[in-house]
Amino acid sequence: MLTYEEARKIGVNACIDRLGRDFVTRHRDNACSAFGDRADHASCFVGVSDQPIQPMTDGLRLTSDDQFPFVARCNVAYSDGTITFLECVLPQEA
Amino acid sequence: MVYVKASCEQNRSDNYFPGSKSTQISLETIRSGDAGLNAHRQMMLGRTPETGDWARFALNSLELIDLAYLSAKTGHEFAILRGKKEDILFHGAVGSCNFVGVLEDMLRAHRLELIGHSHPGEPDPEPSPADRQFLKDLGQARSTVISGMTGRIKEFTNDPFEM
Repeated sequence: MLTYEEARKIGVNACIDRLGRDFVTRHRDNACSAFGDRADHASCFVGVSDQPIQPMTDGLRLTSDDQFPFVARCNVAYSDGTITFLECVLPQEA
Repeated sequence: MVYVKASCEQNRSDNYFPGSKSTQISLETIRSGDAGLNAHRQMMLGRTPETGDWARFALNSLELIDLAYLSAKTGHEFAILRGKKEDILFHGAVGSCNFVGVLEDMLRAHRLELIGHSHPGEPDPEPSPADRQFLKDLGQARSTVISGMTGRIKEFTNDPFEM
């Protein structure tokens, strides 16, 4: 059995590899990882923008209105570490 | 400003596990209007009734699941900011939380940090580029986002190699 911490590391790394590690590294400043603890798996996400995200000049803003253009999503089962990829949007070089 | 210590224990009637079926059903009944907020969350919403409103609460008295219920009720994003001595609840809009004025100043001065915010319409919430930029602008490494539909939580970072 994996812990949540172990599973999310596997999942985030798998997402990075799916997007392309070089691609993610190049756009590291405009990318993020995300992870959640579910009943029997870790839910993992890496989002990348290949364009700089403009800093806010009037106020600070959170939003659910826009999405990363390139994303990888996967679940990692606690029972055996099985990685299941969900819908991904990959760069052409991936 | 009046500090209000939320009576969390006596007003909590739901057994909460992030994203559990019971939480999802509970949030659905709020969204559909078949049920109302409990007294604790009614009080929270009463102090922040409109987009842009914010209110101070006792330190560590606000929880992420509160945001899910408030989002389910209103369809708006909400956020918890936390300082050394207080929590702040912020009522956002349909798809955003915009911090200006005093809150922006306090965030930029690192007197407040973003504990978490809600995405009302996503069953499995994911951070947006703007959410990521928010962390970057403040030099904050992590925060959380919770679904107003399911109560599922994701922690997100400002570095994809952070795990």
